[in-house]
Amino acid sequence: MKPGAEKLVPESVLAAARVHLGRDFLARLERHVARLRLLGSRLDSIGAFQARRKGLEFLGHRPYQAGEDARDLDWSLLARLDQPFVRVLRGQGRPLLWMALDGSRSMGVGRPSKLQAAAELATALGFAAVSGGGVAQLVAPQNGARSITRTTLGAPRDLGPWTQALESLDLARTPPSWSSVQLLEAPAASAAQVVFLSDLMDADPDATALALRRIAGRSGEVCVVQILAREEWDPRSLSSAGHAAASAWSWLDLETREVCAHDGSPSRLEAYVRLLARHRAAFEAALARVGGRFFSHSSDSDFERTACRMTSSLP
Amino acid sequence: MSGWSTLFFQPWWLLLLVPIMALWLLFARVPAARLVPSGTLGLWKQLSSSTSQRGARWTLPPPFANCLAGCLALCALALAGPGRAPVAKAQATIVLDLGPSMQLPDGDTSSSRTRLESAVERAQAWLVDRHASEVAIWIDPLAPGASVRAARPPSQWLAPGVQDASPADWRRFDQPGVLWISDHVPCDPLQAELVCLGARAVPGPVAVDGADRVDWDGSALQRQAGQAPELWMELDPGLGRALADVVAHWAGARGIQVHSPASAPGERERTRACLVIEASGPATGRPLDVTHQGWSAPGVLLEQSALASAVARPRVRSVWLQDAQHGALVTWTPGRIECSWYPTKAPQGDAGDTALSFARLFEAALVAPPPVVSAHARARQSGPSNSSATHAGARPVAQAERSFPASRARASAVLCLLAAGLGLLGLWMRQVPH
Repeated sequence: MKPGAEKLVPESVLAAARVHLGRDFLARLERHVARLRLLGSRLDSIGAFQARRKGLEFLGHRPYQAGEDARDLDWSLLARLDQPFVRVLRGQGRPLLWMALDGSRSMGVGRPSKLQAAAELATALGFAAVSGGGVAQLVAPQNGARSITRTTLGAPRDLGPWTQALESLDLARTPPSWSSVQLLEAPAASAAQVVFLSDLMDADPDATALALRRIAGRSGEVCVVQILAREEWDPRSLSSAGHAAASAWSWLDLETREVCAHDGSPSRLEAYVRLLARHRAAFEAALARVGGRFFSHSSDSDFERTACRMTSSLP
Repeated sequence: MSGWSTLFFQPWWLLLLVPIMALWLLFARVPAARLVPSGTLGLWKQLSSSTSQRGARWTLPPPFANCLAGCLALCALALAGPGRAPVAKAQATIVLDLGPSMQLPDGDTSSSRTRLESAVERAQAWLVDRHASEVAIWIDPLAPGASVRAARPPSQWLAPGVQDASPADWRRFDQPGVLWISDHVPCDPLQAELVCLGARAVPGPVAVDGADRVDWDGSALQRQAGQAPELWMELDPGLGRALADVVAHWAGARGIQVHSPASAPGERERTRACLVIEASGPATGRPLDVTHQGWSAPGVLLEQSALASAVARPRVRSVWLQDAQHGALVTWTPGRIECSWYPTKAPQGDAGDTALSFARLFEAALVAPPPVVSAHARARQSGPSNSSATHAGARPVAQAERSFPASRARASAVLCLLAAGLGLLGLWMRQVPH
């Protein structure tokens, strides 16, 4: 630690970053799913009629992506909404939403932590998938990342074990060298949609995109949600958040304990923002090459907004 | 700091600027870094390697800190009393006792310093302490009306020479802004300041009687037969043969050698002559017959030009011979006889009256050479003391300089107002969020 910097123990930060999905969150989750159902009733009434004509069970709609078979387009919905949607039909089994939640120490950053935001978002996506007739599976590090566990959400009654699994995540026990990319190496069944929730700071864009495509298969959808704390998205927010001066902080890496002094110069802040934008653009390009989509999320923003943007493409 | 004293009344208050500047620099320094956890340290490290921002961590202090520092600095300036002094260097007047006792050693007997040398040092220290000019007006109390403006009194004043026995009129110099300095208290000053060096009894020669020397051993007088110091006098040969004959008779009887200025032991030693008889100027050629105390003689008038010796150390001259038309013809001060007339022929009249008349003049003007000091001066004892003027109207020059001039009070008031304004502005800026 550099002289002059205040003492900050990474373990205390990580301990405070534990996931807590309380009653307030569950209430918000129910309201969120209710809104989705209301939206889904309008969309699905058209698609379900056409699916029944094909003898398949209609599950819902998702936005059309370039390169998809035009026969899957819901032309009626396109005529009404002037937006291309693809019908999602159930075949032999329930569609699987496979989610990987980054459990590296860097996810302890932010208030609330990035881990908390990722857990809320994953729960919202999974619950929406279950509400749509699918199954959600979450892959996350457990017990200090010595093993990787899968938590499945097949019905609303599974929400208890689901939240319990999330709340048991302990970043303080995660080895500093642990990388979330290891999650993507875990074998998984072919999923209708693959979602990776991470800050993406220890991931290679192309490797990550290819791994997710492999898990999703040819027809599965790939989504990556980059979750960063507010001060990571825009360090200038620290000045407006009550800090004494724009130059009065140093960055602490929770994994390596490294400290990087920040001189507070506006040009350097601008350079950081540009560098982060390039980092994000690299992931967007990599995902675009495998037909995936990229979402960004701030840990202090509501999960509903990002979940709504993503849910329209869920099964 | 002496230079600052011309700009500030109390320049030591300016030392407050040092901690004020230090406080301001503390604000200028980047505060202790607050550690913020981040998962994007890799990006920051890339920036660190691509830009060389690792320099001194200084920045401009916040505006409120500038205001408060300015407020404190103005307060310090106000306390220091800004403004050029109306009289940058106060002129001090020092009346220096040149009496015979001042040639006695100062302190213990092993000291080679005379009281006069100590007095000069004390006077110069007084000048420095009172922020007065290094150049003072030096006054010999035995020469009222004559003064020397210099950093030190003339060397003729300090050299051990003829010892004036005439009392000085110190009261004449009892004025504000005047320093008396002596080894005793000549009289209590009402308005002047007094530095008394103190004196102790110093046994030694007190008189010369023919070939014998009279010493004072601290309690009694002791005659030291044949121990008299060599006495010599100086006679200006331009004063004519007739006067030289009279002088030779008297000097021979007194055991005093007579020299002309050309044959004198040297310019430096002239002050050690027990008597100097000199002409006031070149001869005018105008004859003047003189009758005085039972004798008469024809003579010649001399021009009455100012003698260098008289200018250097003027004294109240006693008139021995004068003429109603031409004024003083022969005057004397201790150790010196100045002649504006001299006889061209031997004085005529009763020989006894003539001898007594001239002998009274010579004896009156005769002084004892060093180290002979009068018994009164050697026996004098007094302790050191300082006294300031106590008179209600007394306002010594040093204290006058110390007083706070109105112009400086106005300047300080303006600075205080500015300081108050800056202070309020700083506090307001501190309270109001940006």
